[in-house]
Amino acid sequence: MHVSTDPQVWIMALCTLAVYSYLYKENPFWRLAEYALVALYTSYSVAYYWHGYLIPRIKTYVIERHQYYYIVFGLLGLLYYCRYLPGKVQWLARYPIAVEVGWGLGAVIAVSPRSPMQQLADSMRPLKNVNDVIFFLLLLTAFMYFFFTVGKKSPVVSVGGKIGRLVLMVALGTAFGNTIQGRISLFLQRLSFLLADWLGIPIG
Amino acid sequence: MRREIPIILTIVFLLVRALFELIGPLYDFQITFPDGTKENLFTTISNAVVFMSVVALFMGMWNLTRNHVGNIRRKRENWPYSIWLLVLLYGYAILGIIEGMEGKHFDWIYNGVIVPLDSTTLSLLAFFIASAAYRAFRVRSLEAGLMMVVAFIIMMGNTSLGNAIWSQTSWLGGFKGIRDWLMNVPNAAGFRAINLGLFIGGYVAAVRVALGLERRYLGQD
Repeated sequence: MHVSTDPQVWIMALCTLAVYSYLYKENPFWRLAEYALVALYTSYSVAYYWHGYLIPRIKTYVIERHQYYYIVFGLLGLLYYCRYLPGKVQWLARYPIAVEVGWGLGAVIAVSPRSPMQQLADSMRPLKNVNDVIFFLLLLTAFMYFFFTVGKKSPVVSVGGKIGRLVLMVALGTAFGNTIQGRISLFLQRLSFLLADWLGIPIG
Repeated sequence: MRREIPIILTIVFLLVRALFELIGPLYDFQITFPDGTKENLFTTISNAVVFMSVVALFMGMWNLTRNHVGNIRRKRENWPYSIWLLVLLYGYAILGIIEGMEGKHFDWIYNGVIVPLDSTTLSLLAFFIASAAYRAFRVRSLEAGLMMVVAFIIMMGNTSLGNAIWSQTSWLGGFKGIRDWLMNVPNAAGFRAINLGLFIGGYVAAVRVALGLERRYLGQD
């Protein structure tokens, strides 16, 4: 057993233990870790966008290519900060929000139907084997669960909807199982770091 | 002025983007800059919109500062931690801006503090999910039981322990065989219905914004 002498490994181990201390109860170590994570992540994203987007685009488009309309977009972006200024100018933040929402929704309206339409076309596949038939029936019942307008008035939709609910629970169960497994593997990684990298206990 | 121009801006940018996406030749239309370089017009506008959003990169810092300075001033519960947060917030941001993403100290803190804090916090969910599963079992409804049984089979099918208990080569393909069937048939059917429902809801909301019927994204007067 060779305990690590690397200060970074010690900091990593103490951070890990501080977070796991929450499993016992809320305590000052957990609070320090929690506040540190929020602060450092925010700062990291600031540095990331500063060096990855803001400065390179000013250099490329404004300084090298003389695309001065970028200054207009930059000024529009500054209007976001009006949200935190006194009441009379807060509405100015709507201008950049409107541009961003419009640009994003243009893609949603034009592009987003592609994937669902492909899925819908795939659902209408030829019924070649038992699994295809089961899939189609389960899909219909799952749809019936969402038929709120017809609802319980139709017995077919009512019974189908009940079966559909079970289908949805199976689907959520698979997602739940995969999520648990992902989290457990993260926990095992942290545990192996504490035992092997920090305390030097050989595992596996 | 306060509502009308933003709504017009939304509709104009929405139409421009939709036209770019739908008309192939427009998407490929290139412009030449004074320095001789060429770029797609779509990419140029898209970069400008992203640039506009990136200018707001200090919004998060500003918001955190407002909240935590308020905590310190009013001496609210846990206010000393707000000082800790502000010191780290500004210290690390200044370090990052001065040193750059590849900076020695910046990178050291990222790997030494952010990575373990982040992955450990995510792994905490393993414990809370386990307690949620226990509570779901206590409900004793058909739906909750079904969900838990499926989750168990999926986990067993994914691990070598599951294969050791019920081998892949035995009846029904073991846990792995059942897992594959669950993933490909009922799971695919269930999530397809959920996805199509989400799409219809999202698309209707998008069309409402495009028609100017939905204005809540602009906030209240």
